[in-house]
Amino acid sequence: MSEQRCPMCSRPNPPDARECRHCGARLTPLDLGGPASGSGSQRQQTPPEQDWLARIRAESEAAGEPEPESAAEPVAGELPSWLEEIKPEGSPPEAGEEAGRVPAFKADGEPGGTKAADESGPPEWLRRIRAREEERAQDSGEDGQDWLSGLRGSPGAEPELEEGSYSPRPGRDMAAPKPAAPESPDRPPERPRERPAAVSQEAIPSWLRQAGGQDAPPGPDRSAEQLPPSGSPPATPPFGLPHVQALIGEEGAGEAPPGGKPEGEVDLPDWMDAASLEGPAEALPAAGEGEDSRLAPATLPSWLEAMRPVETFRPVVQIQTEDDQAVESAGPLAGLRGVLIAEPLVAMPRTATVGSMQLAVSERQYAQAELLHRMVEDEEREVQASRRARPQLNFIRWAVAGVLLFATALPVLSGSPRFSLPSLEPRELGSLFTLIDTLPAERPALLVFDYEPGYSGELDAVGEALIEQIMVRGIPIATMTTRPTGSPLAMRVIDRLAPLHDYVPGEEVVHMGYLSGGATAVQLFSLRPREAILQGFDLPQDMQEAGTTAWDTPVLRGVAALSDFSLVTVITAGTETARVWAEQAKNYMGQTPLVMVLSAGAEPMVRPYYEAREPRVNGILTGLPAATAYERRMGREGLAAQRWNAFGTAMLASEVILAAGVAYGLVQWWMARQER
Amino acid sequence: MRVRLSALWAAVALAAGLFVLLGYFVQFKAIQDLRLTFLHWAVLLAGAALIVGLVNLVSVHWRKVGLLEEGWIYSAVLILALVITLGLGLFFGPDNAVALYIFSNFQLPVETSLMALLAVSLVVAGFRLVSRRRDLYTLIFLATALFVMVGTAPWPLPGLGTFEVVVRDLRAWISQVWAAGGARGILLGVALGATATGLRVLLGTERPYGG
Repeated sequence: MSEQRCPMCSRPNPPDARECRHCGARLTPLDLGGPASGSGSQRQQTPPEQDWLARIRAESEAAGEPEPESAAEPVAGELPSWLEEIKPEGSPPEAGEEAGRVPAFKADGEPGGTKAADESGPPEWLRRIRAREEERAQDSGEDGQDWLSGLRGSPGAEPELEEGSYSPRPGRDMAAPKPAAPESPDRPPERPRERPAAVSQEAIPSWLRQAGGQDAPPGPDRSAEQLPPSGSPPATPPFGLPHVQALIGEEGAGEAPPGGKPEGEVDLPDWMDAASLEGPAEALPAAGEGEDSRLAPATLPSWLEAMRPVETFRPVVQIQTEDDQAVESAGPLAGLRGVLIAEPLVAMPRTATVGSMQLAVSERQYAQAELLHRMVEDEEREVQASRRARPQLNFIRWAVAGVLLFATALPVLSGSPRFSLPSLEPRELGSLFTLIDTLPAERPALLVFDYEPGYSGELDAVGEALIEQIMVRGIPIATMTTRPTGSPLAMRVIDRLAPLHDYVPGEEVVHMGYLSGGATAVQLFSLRPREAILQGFDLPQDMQEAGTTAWDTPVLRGVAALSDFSLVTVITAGTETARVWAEQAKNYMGQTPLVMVLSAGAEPMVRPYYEAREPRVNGILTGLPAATAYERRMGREGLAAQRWNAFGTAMLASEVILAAGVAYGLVQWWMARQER
Repeated sequence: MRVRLSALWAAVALAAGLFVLLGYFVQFKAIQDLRLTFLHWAVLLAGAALIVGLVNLVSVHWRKVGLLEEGWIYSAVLILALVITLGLGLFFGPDNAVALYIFSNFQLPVETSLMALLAVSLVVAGFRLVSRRRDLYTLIFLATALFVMVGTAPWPLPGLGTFEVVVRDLRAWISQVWAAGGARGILLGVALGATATGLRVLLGTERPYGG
């Protein structure tokens, strides 16, 4: 050995150095305890881990410490420490026997062990213990074998001690020495193991002798094979670690030996017994074959094998030799071989275990997953073309329509029922009537027909009542509209009333037509009426041929501004139109009154302009009842009165239907409540 | 350049609004004339917008007819009616006899019938209302409607004149106090909104003309 390298820094050091001169790391491993074996010559052959023992011994001798008698080398026949430990307490050594000696059937196989054992007695501490035990035994009068007889008396001990019940235990075969390989032409036969000299029966304890006498088969003493020869390494494996027996494969796995058999006794399989009994080593199978077929090193029980993940299953655990083991490259263990490498265990990916593959799913997550699954299925599902639903008659709708139609037509067709005209009239009706009645007859009145044809049924009747009073007064009438359909509506109303009051178109009444532009046009018309409307609507034929406009007619000849009209009347069903006229046109009307003829639904929105402290609207006429009352005040029966009965019947039918609906709903609610 | 153009548009809009607004308070002839000019432009623009809308309507329905889409027959009828009435109005004037006949015998009955259907639908909805939505507000709504209808319609029981007076007064109280009060609130909100919108346009904060 020329030099040694430091396991930490890998730098060369002198061969006899104990510490690295570069980094101070220990060059030789520190080992505690354990007897050293072998002489100086054997030290070269023995594993290096035994050097420490020799070194410690040498240091002890140099320090003058007395070397124990048994510490020099294992004495044949002396019980190993593990065998001493299983010996029951209180079992004194038998008289005449030499304590600490290996039994004869074991010592036979030990090369040169017995004689050497006779020469070296037990250690001092053991002698003191035995002496104390002998004194105790003499005091108690017992022979010291009661504990063994007690054990033999136990029911479970007898079968194990019977030879016929012996069965091989593959797991324990790992601890047993390998059988001799058969002879082969290219391999010389192994030299039979040198069995130790026979140990005298006196050197065997009584309890061990009895156990050995029953357990040990006749013939070659197999127990000798359990004990290592003196020159061989001790039973403890290198690095001082205790030997762990492999798990037993099938039967008897993990069973503790019965009390009758000491722990040190290692059972041999049948094949090994047979080989040892029959003698010829050639009959034994090859070592490799025997290991592969019969022996199962480090195998697991079947039930444990079944639990192992398939991916991680390795049938054979291959233990690499020290030279093949990787050298640690980092950390404080750098340079050492055989170190458990942490990186593959921590950093390298591993196959997930079975337990980690089971997801912990909560109820909510499960519900969401189900919902997602359902949505995906719905997306993939082909949507069937929905059948066109067969039109079903809505009974209630048709019934209501029929009732209303019948109620409206009944008074027109049969003249009954007849409702009395309203005896009460609105408060504003009188002031409006007075206003119209006091208008100057020389200035025309402007009528604005700003409603859609759909409201003509109501507003034609309401407006006619007011227009008829104006015609009664003989006030010229000019009409206009801000809606495209307003002019024909105005023409219809005027054409119906004009013959009744001898109004001549173009002279007492004229249609100015449509004013486009909405609210802006209303403002423009309020400022410059002649610039807003340039032509006319339904003018007399001669006037059209003459190329005259509405402003050239006698009705509008003196009108240059909105204030030149005697009255501005807006007939509308829309609150927005009424608001535009009240807000945009009233400022340019001067003293000209603004009157609103409204549908019943527009009244609430216009009334604030009428009831204001400075009213923007000077009179309102709302709905068919007010028109009927207005006609009655005039002493005439107009269109409102003609429609009064049909209006009353339809309204009554509507009231009954609504009341029936309320009653039906309440009955349904009451019945549902009763069912609950 | 883009910024300058947007500023120009904002300045034009602001000036137009200010001149029209000043016309309400200042009686200078120049301002009144300028205001009147702006109003004329606005009316012309409204007429032009109506024509643009008409062209768009025709193009949409013409495409539906060309592609034979669902309901193309209605689009074809619309285009046909538009062409007829427009031709009558352009060539014979809006007050010719044929146009008035079409209005009186087609447009007026159709629109009146739609209003009648609206009345039927409202009655049906009122009949089902309690069954569909049974709560206090529904009952209040229907009770109010019934009181107003009874107070508006002819009184069916001539012998109960006193009861008729009570119902009429109740109807007047509902329509002239509660309904008018709510309408005033709406009108105040509309006025405030219009004022705020006008100020935003005048100050250039809101630019409906873009930029």
